[in-house]
Amino acid sequence: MNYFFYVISLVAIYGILTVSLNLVVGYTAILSVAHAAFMGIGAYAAALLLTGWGFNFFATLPVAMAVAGLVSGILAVSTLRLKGDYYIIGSFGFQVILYNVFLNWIGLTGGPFGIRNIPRPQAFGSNLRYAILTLGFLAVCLWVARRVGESPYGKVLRAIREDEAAAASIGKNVTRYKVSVFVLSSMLASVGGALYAGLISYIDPFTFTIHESIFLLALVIIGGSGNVYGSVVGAAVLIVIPEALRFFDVPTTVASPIREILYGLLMILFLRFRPKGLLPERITPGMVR
Amino acid sequence: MRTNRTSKQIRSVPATLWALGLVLALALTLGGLTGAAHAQEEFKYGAVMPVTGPIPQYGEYFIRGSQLALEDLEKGGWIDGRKIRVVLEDGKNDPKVSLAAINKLINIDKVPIVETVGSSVVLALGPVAQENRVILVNTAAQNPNVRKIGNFIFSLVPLADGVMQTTARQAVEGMKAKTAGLLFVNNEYGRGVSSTFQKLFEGSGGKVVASEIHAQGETDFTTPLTKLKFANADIVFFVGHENELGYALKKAKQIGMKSRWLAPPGVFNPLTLTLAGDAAEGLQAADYPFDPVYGTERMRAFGKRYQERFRVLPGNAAARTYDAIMLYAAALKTGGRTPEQIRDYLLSVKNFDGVSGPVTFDKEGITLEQPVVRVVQGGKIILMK
Amino acid sequence: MAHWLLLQLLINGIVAGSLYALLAISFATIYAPTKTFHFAHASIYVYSGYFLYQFAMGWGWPLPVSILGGVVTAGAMGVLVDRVVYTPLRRSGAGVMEVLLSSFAVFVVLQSVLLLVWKSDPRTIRVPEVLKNGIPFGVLTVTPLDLLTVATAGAVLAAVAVFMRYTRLGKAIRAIENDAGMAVMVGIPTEGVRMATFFLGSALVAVAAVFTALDKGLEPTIGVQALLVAVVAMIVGGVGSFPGAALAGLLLGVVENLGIWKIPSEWKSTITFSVLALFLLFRPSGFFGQRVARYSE
Repeated sequence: MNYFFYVISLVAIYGILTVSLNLVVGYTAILSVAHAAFMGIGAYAAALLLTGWGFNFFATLPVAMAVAGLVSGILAVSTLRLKGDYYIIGSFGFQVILYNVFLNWIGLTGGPFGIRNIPRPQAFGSNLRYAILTLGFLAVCLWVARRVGESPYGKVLRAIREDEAAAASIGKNVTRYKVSVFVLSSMLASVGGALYAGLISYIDPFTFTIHESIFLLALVIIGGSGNVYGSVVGAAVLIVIPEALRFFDVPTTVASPIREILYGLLMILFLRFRPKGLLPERITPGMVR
Repeated sequence: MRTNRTSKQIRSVPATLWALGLVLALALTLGGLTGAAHAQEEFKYGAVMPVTGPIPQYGEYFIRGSQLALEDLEKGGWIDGRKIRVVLEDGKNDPKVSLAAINKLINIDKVPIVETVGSSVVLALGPVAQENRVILVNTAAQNPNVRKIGNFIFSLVPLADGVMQTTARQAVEGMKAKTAGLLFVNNEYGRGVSSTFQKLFEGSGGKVVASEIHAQGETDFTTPLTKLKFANADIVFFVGHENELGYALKKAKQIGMKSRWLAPPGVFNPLTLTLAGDAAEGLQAADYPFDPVYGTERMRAFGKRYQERFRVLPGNAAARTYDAIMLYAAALKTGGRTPEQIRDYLLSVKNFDGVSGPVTFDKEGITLEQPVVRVVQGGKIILMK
Repeated sequence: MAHWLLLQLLINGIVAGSLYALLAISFATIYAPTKTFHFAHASIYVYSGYFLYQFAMGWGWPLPVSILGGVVTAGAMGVLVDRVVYTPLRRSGAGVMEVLLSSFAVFVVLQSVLLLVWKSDPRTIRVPEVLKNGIPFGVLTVTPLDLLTVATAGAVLAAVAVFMRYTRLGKAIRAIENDAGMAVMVGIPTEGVRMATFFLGSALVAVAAVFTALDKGLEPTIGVQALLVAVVAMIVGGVGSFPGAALAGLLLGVVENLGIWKIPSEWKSTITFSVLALFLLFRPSGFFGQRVARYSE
């Protein structure tokens, strides 16, 4: 059963990452391929403070969020003020820069060696308890995302998504909205990253690559862009299926590419035939325009 | 985002139920299988190997070596009729993936022993194995820190701290090198081994004049080699995998580098020589004694059988995998069942007749095997005195 | 000795840069008229190398035939990706963002199929040794393959420039790039031109891939880095400017290689992105691009 709770924690953590990404992708239609980098910032901040400075796990979270918020703010301000696809390219480049920093700044991050023996908070040491902790954070994250979605602020985000020019023409500062939601999303992602570090107990740069960012995007699309519960379902489906595959005698050389093909194909098929995902966004009357 | 988005309320209950149902079903299957995986008659031998990823050749060495070992055990009637089954997980030479794999092996398959390779992976898995009191067998990682992990960690391959003594001596005395340039792979293996070498080389009066890094699985060595060429060292000490060395040697020749090359053990491998071609000429290394062509009778027999079967010569790791499984079987035959009993058996063996050579472990579970020096000459691998 | 190293690095940079210029042009050929951020271009790049490998090493075709085969197959594959994935998606009413997302998915799928078909072992293509053995000039070396690379890249770039300026198809591509709506109105068959741009862009990226494969061998993961370079060069040169993209590609190659003169070479790809970051911050329109609109203005 231990393994079962491990998978549950993994689902909850990817749920947090996906829900937070949904804020920018689903609510606002900003396509970021740097989400794994912010997850990485959270993971590294927590891991370094836990192993090097003897911080309490919960005390690392504000630091992780602050760093992620600051860095994402810089990225957002420099790219989101530009029209067109620049923010995609900006986040793309940023993802690679940050990966290189994790990999090559050996003095700080341990480079390719990663960071080992990352402790879990004492009261949540077992897999069962850690699963409860991550589910708790997921619940908080969902609550925040829903509140954001239902608030007037969230309605402006959706208006920007539907028609940027119109939103700007009614006097909304589009850039400010975009930057703020991007920063919020990155801060939540850093919490996911910190929890991830605790679960796996080991992190290295190879986790936080552009492939991971694309994987997270796939979870958002398959789950349902704009629906935060959909994000949790998307994460659950795509985390559990490959874990379940471990129990069947599929040769590993074949299993891992097949897993990738599966989620790639699912993403294409969903975009084409069910673009609203497993759980479509619920739009209450009067919400848009 | 979508232009034709409707604003009316959408409630898609069937889809929701469908999705949740799917997740639930999978979760239940997972949980059910977890419970069912116990009551089995056979012994299990766990392995976390890079079947895919940057160094898949090690996955292949394992699969082939273990296949031959299991065939031999079957011929011998297994362990009083009880089979040994290999449970292989792909770790991609990625510590994170490997950690998930070993947790599955320990918690679900309940294996008493896990074999793995790769310094980054061994160092990541070691503490987990130690904590769960499961034996970890290393068949290819050379990082000297493997020694310090704990008393459940065994290494069938000698670590760099021992082998580099011979390597550094060969650099200073054999190759008469005063200066060296380092070129190493950017991971635990590359850094661990090259810094051990540097310490010993500089301790015997040599000087490291340049130090370049390459990525795992790198194919383009133009840049680091250009810098090394202009550093003009007597030798280049290379630490990396067979494929990387093959590409590097080739490039070095093409850009007209004059330095001679020295490498850690395990690189005299069909893969290196195929990739490098005649650019491998003069490459030296303090190497493992295992030699499927010119080695002892037992090594040659293994090499011949392997080659007939798989049409290539076995790498070192294949032979060590064979030995590791045979050692495990021997421990089971003596009645050892728990990891503690198996550990005690392993510590007690003296000159176990392995295909990689006789195996004896020191107190810390590291093999006492001594290296030999080899060089590529006229396209052949020659043993130096 | 140090200034010789610098000179050698400059030579290496020009060789790398001429391939980067090809990459930049290949991406821009597709992006500029179709506005498709074709991430799977990275896969086309890798596949064309493996096609070459399959033809030359697997089936033993002569090298020039294999190269031509690789380039043409890659072009066809680019068209196929557009027809099977992007175009149906566009027709179903999806926006730019869905197409981009699908291109990520295509990338992931193709990458994994590649692993199943060719495995992850590194591959080299046997090339006549004379092409690869360096010609020494004092302490400097250049291989004939390097010279061939630069010459081919130059010739191809010149041909593209002529094609875009003087042929009907080239003019049509530029017309769509400037104003897609207008192009339809004056009767340009946009779907046909779209297929042509995918073919041309994919064939161009294949040329870059072929030379990389001949020189350095193949690994399944080399695509992303190539795509990054292409995108950065396109931005730095200015979106919509073909000469700008080519020049920026060349420049990137040189800057990357000179940059590592003093800093450790593992930071090489970070240099590329620092250049990108600087441009995004201070000159988002690149050298030759049209002015980029900002929200705050």
